[in-house]
Amino acid sequence: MELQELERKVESGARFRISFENRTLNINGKKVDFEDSIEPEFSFEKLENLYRRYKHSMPGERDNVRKSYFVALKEEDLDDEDVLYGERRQISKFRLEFYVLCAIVSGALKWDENWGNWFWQSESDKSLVILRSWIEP
Amino acid sequence: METKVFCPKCGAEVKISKHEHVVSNAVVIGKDSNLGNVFLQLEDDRKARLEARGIDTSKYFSISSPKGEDVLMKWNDNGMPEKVADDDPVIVAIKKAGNVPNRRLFRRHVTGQMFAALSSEAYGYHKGGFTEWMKWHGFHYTWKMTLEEFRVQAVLYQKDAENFFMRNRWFSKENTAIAMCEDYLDQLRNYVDRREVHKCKRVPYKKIGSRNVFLSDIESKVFLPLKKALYQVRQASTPQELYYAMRNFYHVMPLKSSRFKQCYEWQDSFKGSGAYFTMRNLIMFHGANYVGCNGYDESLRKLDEYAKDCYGYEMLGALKEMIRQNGINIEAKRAEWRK
Repeated sequence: MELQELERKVESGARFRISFENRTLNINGKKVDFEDSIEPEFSFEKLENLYRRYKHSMPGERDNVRKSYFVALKEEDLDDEDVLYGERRQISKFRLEFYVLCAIVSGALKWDENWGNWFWQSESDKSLVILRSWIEP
Repeated sequence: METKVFCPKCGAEVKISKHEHVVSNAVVIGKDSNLGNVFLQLEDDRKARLEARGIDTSKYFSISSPKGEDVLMKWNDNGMPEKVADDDPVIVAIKKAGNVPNRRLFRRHVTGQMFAALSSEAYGYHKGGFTEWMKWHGFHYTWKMTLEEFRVQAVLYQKDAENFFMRNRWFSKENTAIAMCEDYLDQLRNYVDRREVHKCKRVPYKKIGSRNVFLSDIESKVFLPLKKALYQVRQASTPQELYYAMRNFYHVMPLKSSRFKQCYEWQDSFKGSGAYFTMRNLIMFHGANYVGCNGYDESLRKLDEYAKDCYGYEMLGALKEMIRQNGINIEAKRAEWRK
């Protein structure tokens, strides 16, 4: 299934679950084949951009319940611009996690020993962290 | 003397441990700490926010008048207290600096939701636009949202009359609650009439939701409890009673099918409420002017006058016009946010 189709499904309310460790994507409880939408390239700049949008996105009901790989701001900590013009959190979460999942599956994101033993942390935003266990379970 | 801890805002007693004890870096008080009644300190950052805007508040204080109203006073140059006039430089500076946003009270999430709805795109059965976005949320959402609205109104009725009346203008017993219940009864009646008749030992029955009900029992077991609950809704005389009555009606519903349509009166209230609070937010915090107005006070006054006698869809039209007149381009701003 193509990326645009997946995004449309999530935008229209489909529930999704991504597992980095198992390398799977589930939409409405069913496993989805996403090999058609894997991009072979990966850049930390794009990752940080996607994370920034996720961090400042507008949360909904589902976001209080589910555990998430990445940390986002609470609604009371968001700026007015974020609340008025931001994306819904489910959509930005899907884009961020799916980007990381594709990078892991395609091999574009590999663990570098220079990052340390446990996690990689972004220099520009300390709350963006990628755990080693996601890439090497 | 038993120790008790109270919240300074609502006066509720905070639960504490029975005995005082020591943890790694602190002492935890208990009921045997012998401190009497303790009121927690609230961190009030209003003073800090005013001073951050360059407004000196050191001379100002407030007292309670014999009527129970708060009166703003200041120390004059002779060291005597005097009442602060409306043209005092600090008051003018505060008004010029704009409203101090209280996010919880002024419902900025309503504005965000309205902007998302107005710029929603077509996909599948969703044709795009506000009304389609609203209908896409379905039947369950109408009841969940309305119950929460009435619950909040019941609280505001006791603590904040001004905000209660603002919200009650759109969601009230007369214009929303009774209409929603009657609409549900009508839709359920149509649904039951169209259901296929089955037989169990030659006795006819219909499947309603997850229950099988004999035809002779449909009125007494399906519709009568709903009619009783509707009667309670009509008889409710306070917001608290209304909330309980609506909640009871919702629990008694035998079927909450997503095939049921949203009540028309609810749709109108939803449009009106969303548009009204969005316009208030834009006027108060984003420098926008109401249609045909110039200035903050005139805009708010005209908005309230218009809201008194108009329908929800008319408010939505006024919002769209206000957005156009103030040059707010929602799609462009959303695209800019994504960069």
